Amino acid sequence: MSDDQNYWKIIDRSKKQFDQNTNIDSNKILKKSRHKALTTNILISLAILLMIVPTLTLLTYFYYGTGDGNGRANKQIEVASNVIELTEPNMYVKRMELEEQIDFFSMDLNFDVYKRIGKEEYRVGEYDINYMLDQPDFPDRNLWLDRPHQEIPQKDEASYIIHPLVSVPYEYDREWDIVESIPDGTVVEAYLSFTDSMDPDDVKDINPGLDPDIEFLWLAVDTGIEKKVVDDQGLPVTPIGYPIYKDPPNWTPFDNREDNEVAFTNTLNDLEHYESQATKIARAKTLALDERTDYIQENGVKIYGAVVTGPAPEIRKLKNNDHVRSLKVGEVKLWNWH
Amino acid sequence: MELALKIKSKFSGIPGLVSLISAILSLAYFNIEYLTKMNTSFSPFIFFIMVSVFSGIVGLFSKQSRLYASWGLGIGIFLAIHTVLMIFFTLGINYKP
Repeated sequence: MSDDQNYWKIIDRSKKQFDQNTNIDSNKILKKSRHKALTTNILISLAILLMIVPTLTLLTYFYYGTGDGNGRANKQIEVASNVIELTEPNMYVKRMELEEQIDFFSMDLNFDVYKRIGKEEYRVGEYDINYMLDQPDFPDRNLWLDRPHQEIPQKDEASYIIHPLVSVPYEYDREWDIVESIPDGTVVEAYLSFTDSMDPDDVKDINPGLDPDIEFLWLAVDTGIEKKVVDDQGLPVTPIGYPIYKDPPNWTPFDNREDNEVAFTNTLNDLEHYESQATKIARAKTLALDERTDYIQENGVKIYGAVVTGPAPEIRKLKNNDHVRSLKVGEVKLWNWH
Repeated sequence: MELALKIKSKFSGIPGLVSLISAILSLAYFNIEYLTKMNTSFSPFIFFIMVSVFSGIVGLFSKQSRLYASWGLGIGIFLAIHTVLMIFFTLGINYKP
């Protein structure tokens, strides 16, 4: 007789003895125990399965809510907002309106971008950026501009703000024709290139006593690579600079609490730590922040161009300005210069 | 006396079972709400967590329902901590004054 048969024989005998001694049906007890074990297994397995989603959610929120000083999500929001302020002339994000959606180890940022043209701000587009942990995908941009910049800047295409050491393409003369043809009752956004790089404080010399009556919205900073047009790897670079807010919001680093040049240098140094993310969000496929920060540290902040806005007749006056080398017209809106 | 003991033993497993079932219901509710992005005005989530914690504590004193009670209590405490941490993180991320 095998061990197995012996085992079952002993069990049967024990059951019979138990039934005789206690007057209780052992099969009933066994059935009940089996049923209870099965119920326990089902309930505990179900609980474990249902705990997967809350655990992953908690881990995701823990990941985005901690690290990088103020939390990884907040840092990425700050990086995205700063990249747009620094690399897109006269374009900014209202951080209070920015919306984030967090899923399992991923985040989706949605925000609108604005431009100031004349005295009013206009919503000019929207961004959608998907992050896997802290790495963004290329943003989904949707801009509603009459004169948009290239989606990906090309080497042979002139920048809208031209460095003093780079020759101005002949087609830029046509831009003055556009300014001449724009009706007087409009306000214009214009990209100015200066004859020389100058200190930020000297920019006011372009319109002393507000003549022409224009406002500076964004200043392009000479970071050493604009004159080369491309970076060390041969990728085209775009202007980088900082905004000037008359009534600055409290979320921007350029909130007039410290000099804008200092805020710009600090922001650029900070962005250098998140260069891969910043480059993905920016239109230019290189920001060369390492090279640029080194240059600024050595040479200080020098301005070689600006974005201005004003009534069309005032913008026309810039043609005879000694500091202005070339102009490119941006957006034009109906009169709002009150 | 024997009858009282029998009744006691018959019902002593209930708090543990209630605790575990409440915990499972709160987990299921969280899963549905999170995965479908559904937001209901009345959420029984907190009620289920409280039931699972309190009946879990009661169930721990009974030998029969200790397993269910400890699972129910464990999940209830986990969900309570989870809720507090989620509120803390949600308020901290993209903070808008």
